[in-house]
Amino acid sequence: MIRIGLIAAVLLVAVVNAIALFGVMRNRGLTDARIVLTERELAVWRGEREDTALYLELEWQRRSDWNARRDWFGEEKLRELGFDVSVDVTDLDDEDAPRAYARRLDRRALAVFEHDGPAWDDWREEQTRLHEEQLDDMRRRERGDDEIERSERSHRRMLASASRLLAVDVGLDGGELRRLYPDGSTHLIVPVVASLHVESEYDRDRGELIERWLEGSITRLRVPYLHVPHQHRDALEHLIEEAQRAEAATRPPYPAMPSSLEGEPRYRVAVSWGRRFEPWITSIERIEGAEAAQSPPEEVR
Amino acid sequence: MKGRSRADSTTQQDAQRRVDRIRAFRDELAHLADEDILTLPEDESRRLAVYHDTLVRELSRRFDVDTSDAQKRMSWGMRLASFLGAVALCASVWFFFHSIWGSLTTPVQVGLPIAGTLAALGLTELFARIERSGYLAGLTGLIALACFVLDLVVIGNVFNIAPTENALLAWGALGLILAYGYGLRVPLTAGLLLVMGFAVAKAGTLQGYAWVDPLWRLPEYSLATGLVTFVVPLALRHRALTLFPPMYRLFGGLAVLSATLVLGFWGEGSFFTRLDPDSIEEAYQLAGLFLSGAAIAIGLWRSWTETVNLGGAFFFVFLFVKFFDWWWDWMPKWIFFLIFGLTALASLLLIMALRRRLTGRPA
Repeated sequence: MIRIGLIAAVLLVAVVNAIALFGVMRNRGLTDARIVLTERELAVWRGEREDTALYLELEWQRRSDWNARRDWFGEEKLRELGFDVSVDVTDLDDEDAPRAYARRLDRRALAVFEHDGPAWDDWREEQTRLHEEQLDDMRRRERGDDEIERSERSHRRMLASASRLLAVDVGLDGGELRRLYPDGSTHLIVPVVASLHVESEYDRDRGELIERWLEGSITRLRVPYLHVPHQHRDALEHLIEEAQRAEAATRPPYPAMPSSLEGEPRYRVAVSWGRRFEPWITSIERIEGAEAAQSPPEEVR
Repeated sequence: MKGRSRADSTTQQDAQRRVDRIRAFRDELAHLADEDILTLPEDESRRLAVYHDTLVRELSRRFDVDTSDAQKRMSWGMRLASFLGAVALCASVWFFFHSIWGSLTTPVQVGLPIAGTLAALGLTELFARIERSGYLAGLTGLIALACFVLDLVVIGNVFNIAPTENALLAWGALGLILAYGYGLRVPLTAGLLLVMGFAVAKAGTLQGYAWVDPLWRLPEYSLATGLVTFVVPLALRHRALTLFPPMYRLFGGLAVLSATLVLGFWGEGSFFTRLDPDSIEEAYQLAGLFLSGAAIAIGLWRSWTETVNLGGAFFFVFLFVKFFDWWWDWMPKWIFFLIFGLTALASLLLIMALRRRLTGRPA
């Protein structure tokens, strides 16, 4: 006679798997967003050396100074996400106020990422402005033409290869966020973990605190790696093989990874996000001729 | 790890206790005979020896009990080998799957760990039936649990599912089912730790936190979970699996005292954000001394060896922390260690006196 322990164990395994797979079906039953991204936003990632799985890591622009300038993730948004922001940090005489936020735990949220839209244009302009300032500074210091030329090339390469995904909003209600950003081909809604920081600004000359405020940031994506299904690996396999050939002699402890993007992207990926805002890859295509556009690594260095 | 089923496991533990009693009785009888205090008549002595020999043989045949010290030592060795073997085999299953899954289609990727889990469960049942000691059932039970962990990890990765604390509950539930179904202690340990982890993480996610953070940043949640685990055996009687309650008390007590120790150093980590962190640390250091002292007293009163040992170890850690806090900076080190040593000695004498007093009372 089969004992009850075995029956209970088999039932548990069956039920848990059924729930997990039903959740997947439910997620994919409704497409919330479908976007075509490239290597700029989805870099190849592999785990352990012996792990044969292939992933694409979702990259987004994390520049906090840009976020601060845009001022979209302030106290009001933090409150909306459930952070307790009741202690006022703007009163500079209250030295203990920041301590109230020392142990705030990160919270779950949904973030809206805009792809190749006004936020990207704004970010690119900002980077160009900063670059111009850097060039002016180099010229003032009478740096050589070679060095200036290298800096300009590096800047151009960065603009050509950087991720064009930028976070533009956060919230807890996915439906409401989708109502505010209805275009599912440019705006992704993604589960993230958000954190709260106390930011300060000092007078550079006098070293005095002149302003203090609360600011939020996206710490991490809850699904940072997209698994590449077996049927879509072909478009990436050549990159892995190249990397494996290059690293065969040294055999480092980590798996062979394609060289990081330094020119035109080498593949494009169609990704869908479903009802639960969990993604899946629907196709991967090689971009022909893009490999030739990859600059030699030594130029970057 | 010994035992086959709830009923058999009880009988096996009872059988082992009976054999131990017989061996102790024979030793004492031989000692009394040597001292010329008691010598049984020859025919009674022979009858008794035949009865005991027959009984021990029968119990050994039916329940695979240890009938000598050498056998007991070997049992520990076998238990250790079985555990280490299980861990190594789990790691092997994990790495083997990861080394091949890139070349598998999605249905095979998902189906293989499920099939592995079910196969390991089937083997656990089979070994529990044919192998009396339970070593092999324990080994395959742990592999079943590892395959189930792999199963959910693979589904999560393949389908890009956002990580959830609910997986801890599923894994913990399988650990507990294997433990209670087959009388296995290693799956019980895994099950208890996973379910405790789930409780802490769930308490955090219900408040909107990311699930991993509460496991290490909200010590008070661990404290509360540990307390509940500690008292579970009081509400849930283990008439058959008598080795299980000490494990609940051990891991529950460990969670309570570890969390108290962490808060004794890290007041900012407390739930009470409005209070001064230094005061919180003071309070938890004192609470740690009280709780570990209470663990010793309760352990002595109820004859819970693991609780006494746990309380004793933590009591001296808390004592050292407090003394360090007060005196380390200004006191000559030889005086510091002298005071600590003398205090430890005084505590030992106090515990011995308490033990004498309490063990005289009925439990």
